[in-house]
Amino acid sequence: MSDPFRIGISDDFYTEAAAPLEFVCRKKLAGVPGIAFQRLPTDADKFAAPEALANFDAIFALATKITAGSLRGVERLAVVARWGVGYDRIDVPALTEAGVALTITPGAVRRPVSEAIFTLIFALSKNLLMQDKVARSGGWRGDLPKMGISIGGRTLGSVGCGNIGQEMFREAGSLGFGRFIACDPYVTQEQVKHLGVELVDIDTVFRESDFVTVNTLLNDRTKNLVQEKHFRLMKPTAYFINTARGPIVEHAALVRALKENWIAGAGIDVFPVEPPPGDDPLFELDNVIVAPHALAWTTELMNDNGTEASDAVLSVSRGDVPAGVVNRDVLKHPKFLAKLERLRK
Amino acid sequence: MRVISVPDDAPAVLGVSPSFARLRGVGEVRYFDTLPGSEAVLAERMQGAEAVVNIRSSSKITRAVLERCPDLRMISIWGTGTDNVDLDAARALGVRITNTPAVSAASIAEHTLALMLAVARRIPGIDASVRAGAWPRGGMVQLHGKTLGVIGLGEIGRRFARLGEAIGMRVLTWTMNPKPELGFAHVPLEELLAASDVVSLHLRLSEQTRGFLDAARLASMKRGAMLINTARGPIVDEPAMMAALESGHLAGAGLDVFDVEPLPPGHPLSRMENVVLSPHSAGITPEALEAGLALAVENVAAYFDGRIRNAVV
Repeated sequence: MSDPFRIGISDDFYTEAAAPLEFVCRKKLAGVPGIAFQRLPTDADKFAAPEALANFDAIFALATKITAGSLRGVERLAVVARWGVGYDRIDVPALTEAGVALTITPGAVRRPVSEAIFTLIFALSKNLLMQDKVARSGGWRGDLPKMGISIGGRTLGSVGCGNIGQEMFREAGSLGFGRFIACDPYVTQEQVKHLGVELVDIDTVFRESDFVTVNTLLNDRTKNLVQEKHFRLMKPTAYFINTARGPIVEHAALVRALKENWIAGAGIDVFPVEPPPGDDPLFELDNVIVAPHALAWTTELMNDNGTEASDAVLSVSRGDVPAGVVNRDVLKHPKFLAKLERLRK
Repeated sequence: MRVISVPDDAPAVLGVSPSFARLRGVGEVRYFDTLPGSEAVLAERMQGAEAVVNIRSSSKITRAVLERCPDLRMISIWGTGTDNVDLDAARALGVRITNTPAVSAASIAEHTLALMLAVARRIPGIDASVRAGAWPRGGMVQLHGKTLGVIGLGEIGRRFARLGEAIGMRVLTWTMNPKPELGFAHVPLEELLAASDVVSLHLRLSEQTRGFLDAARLASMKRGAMLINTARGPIVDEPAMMAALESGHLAGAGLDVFDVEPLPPGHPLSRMENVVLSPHSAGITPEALEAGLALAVENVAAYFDGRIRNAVV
């Protein structure tokens, strides 16, 4: 084939993920016959326009925004490979209709995110921000306004029990927790029994957990899923941890729960708008740990994301069905099948 | 009924604990929720008691105090430190002394994990940056798949090693007296230091271990490794450790213990960004305190039953 398989690399990789991009291009793509890759220009909102997408067979997406408008007249594109697992900035039905597969990288994210959750759970339990501040300012343990608490025997809960939730419970199995509970309409008790997880309703997760974690996608069903009534159900000694997506939680309700001490504290890696405004009321509170939606952003995560995304793209380049497809319907779509057929030649 | 004195529960911990009811079931309790303030008052509060539950290390139970308490047969200390009691005098006078070892092992192991995770994910620093309006992304260290070197396999070291395994680390261990029955990979110290991405210390401080992690051993650690110390400050050569943190040879450290405690104001460590500090508080959780109080009470009960437990003397 004289015309190579063209991979478009979304603009934001060059500013946000230059090192892992370089790693992946060198390890996975350089020297593969028939493969070419180049920058995909996007606008200030990271929106990819049809003119930009038209010449590519595949796209690496980071925070890239792809709408129905992006795909108008785009005939060649066969796959959008997102580095990561969220796809709230991508119009999935529009991709399916255009015969484009969307792939994500579940294998790469589960461990780093799970570890980020434990980092917040342990830092909150041991009150580490205050401990560090007291130790640095010449004070000592008698000056601590409260003691750290033990993890042993406590209840770990999760809103969502899919890829990341299950990995979290798997690792937590030997950390000394007393009980695991989770809610997830798409998972059966049988599927999580081996992890020791009891499936319960969402109210029970909030009412009975010592640590409530959020491990679900952001979509129409989960937007504002966590509301004031849920924080009111929580124990005053319990902690809330969100490393998933900001808009899943009603931010004002979270702020109120923390300000009025309905709960003991929170670990927040994600915000309704990112970066958050400088006057986000969370920043005034001392019972919260905030992070820049990057607590899981390890070197390994980004390299593994890129490796998994490259494997998906390379499968498509050979005319094969890739792993990690989100829109399974596309696999039967005549347009997508025709693209695979063309690539197989 | 046999008489038990609690001469120094101030501020009250035992008096407000569920273990207090248990103590009342063991004997007649004479309870004081103020500090005695002097040896004379301390001895007076202990008069007629066969057993004493000693809460505060500020109560100096000297030979003079012991000699003024002829009915005294045992002292149950809450905690592991025994330096507020004249042990030689107690031995000479036939007074048994017990303490409450290992009750905070689980809390210390958890605190060690908290420090290790916080150093890897730059927790205090990243929080301060975001509050200040920055959005610094990338560069976090992943522990899953990395190598953890645990030095010392007492109750705390072995618990922490298990926590490291739980989050997917490869664990290497070294102890003075190898314990193969625990099932950990035991390697020579040089190999542990050279291979570990994180080194955590769990040794007792003694003349043998003072300065254990000296400049040469620090230099033999992997470049970019992390050090965690929740054992005792003097086990590490503190100036050499600070130099390694400043040069970048060590990427970071999580420290609960120091050469001088409290850490003096303006100490160089308090200005470093790649360290996470806590004020020798790893063992202080409500759960550990309660477990210690329960054990102090059970030590009295056991003595009254004719079985001595956790005896120091």
